[in-house]
Amino acid sequence: DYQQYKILILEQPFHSKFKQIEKKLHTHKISVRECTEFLQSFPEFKGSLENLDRNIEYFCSHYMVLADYLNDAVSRLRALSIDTLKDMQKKIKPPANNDLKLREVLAGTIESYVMNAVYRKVFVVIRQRFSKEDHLLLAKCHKLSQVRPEEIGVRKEFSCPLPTAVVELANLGSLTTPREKLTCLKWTVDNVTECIAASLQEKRQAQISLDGFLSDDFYEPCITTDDLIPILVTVIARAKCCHLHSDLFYIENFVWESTDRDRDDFGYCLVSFKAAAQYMMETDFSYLKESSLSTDREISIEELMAVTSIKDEVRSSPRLTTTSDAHTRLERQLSRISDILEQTSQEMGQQNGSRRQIQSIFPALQDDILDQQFGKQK
Amino acid sequence: MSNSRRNSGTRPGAAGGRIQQAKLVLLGDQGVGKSSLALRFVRGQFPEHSEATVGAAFLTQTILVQGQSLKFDIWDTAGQERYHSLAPMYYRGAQAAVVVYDINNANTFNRAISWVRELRQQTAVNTVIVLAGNKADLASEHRAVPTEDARVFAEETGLIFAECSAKSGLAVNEMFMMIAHKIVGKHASPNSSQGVQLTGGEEASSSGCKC
Repeated sequence: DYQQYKILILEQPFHSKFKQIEKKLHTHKISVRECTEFLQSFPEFKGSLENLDRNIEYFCSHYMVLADYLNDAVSRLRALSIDTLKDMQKKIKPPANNDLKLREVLAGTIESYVMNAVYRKVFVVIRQRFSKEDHLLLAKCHKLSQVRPEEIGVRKEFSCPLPTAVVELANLGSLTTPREKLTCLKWTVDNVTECIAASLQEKRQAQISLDGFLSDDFYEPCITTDDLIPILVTVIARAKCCHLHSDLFYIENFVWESTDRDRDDFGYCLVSFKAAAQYMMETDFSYLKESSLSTDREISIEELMAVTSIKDEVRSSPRLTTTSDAHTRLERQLSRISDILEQTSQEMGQQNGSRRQIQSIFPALQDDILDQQFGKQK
Repeated sequence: MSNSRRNSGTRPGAAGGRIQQAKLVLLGDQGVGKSSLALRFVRGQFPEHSEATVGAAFLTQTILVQGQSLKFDIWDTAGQERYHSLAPMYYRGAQAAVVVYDINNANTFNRAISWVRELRQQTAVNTVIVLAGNKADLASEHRAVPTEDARVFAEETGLIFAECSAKSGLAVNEMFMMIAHKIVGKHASPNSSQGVQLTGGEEASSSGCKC
């Protein structure tokens, strides 16, 4: 039977109970600055934050983190975060107090706030525990950094310069929270796929311009896990992460406020890096000859370190403060360079002794990826 | 300190409904078509002339099963022998595993059997495991693994069995739908409880389960 219905569409619910939560409250906060500002934006959290700061101070001054008992540190810090979350949730006004997404964002934000505050105390012990592995991996990085990707098992189609991925990963050591570090891994993989996509697009364009059309048998490969592992090996080798094992452990054990941790794309990226690192550790690369030295022009590691070492002093990462996902990685890198320049100018006024360090920045900037000949960034 | 929890969960959906989530891993030799199967299921296409060229290693697809939304997080795994020791990192906590072999290559079937045995030992007993014989479109000329052999092995080990083709789309969606039914705890139609019906090609397989 045919029946008529009238549908009334409203711009917003009549009852305030159903009023939508602001979108920014549902956006995950990544950088330390974002997390701090987010928590401070709720006046009702003032008491909870002060209490949290006291507890963090107590942890830092009274608790001894031991390399063999890191799980105890995990449970203490987690308990601290959970208690704070419960306390803050009681103070949120309706209807936000029952919003599950806001709860998830808030939990992640508190976790990052706590982990940033205890980073130096905890991470130094993690580094101690994994010093042997980190040292061995770094030695492998030195060995592989100049090897052609094909020699490590990268398919020829995917063998192209990956400067943005290397820069992104080289920044890992300067980040303090496990969530920031995890995001860094994700962005590194994103950069890899973007660079390769651009390279494949160039090849496609080259064939079209050569033949005037794209032939039916033009083969367009997809990146699979078999491809990604050796690609990540090359990126790790060139980024020369000093404490990758420690960082991976830190991410795996100190991100607890995520229901999707072992399942989503971030989890996949983390596992891929773990797999690449383990593959590097287990594999004997002594068969690689000196003749396989790469001639690809990449940013030198000294230049990379000159850029990233300054960021060690910066507690928050301006790169990560750009909340909009619409920002491209190119824009983030521009933002990073601007930040370095700003930081540099401040240091120039304060420290005469840092002259040499500052001078080392300029070659890095001169050779930064924006002026690289690759020209494959979107 | 490692986390050994299962990777299933529910989370609030956009409209306030609950979405169940499941991690699904693809295992099998290199070249058997693991990522092609995933791409066929997720994008409804074979990657030969794909617009999006990269990113077959991790895919997601949300489907509607018996009125409930289920989001698959599909993890590709490395098939090369040299990466074999890394596989447990990938399949840890998976709710479902699709072990793929090429029905035109007997060696890949033998490797699939090893993968199934490993999964049985290393994963939870309620992990849904599918034995998928891919490249059925080439079977008329090149078949090397008899359907009956694979079916018998699947029945003996309690697997879902399917012969499919990522290229033509044959039985691909049906296979994933069956996994979804198993995961949400409801059975598919009675006549497809332990195998995928090989009906139709492109049209049959591309209908019904996309959301």
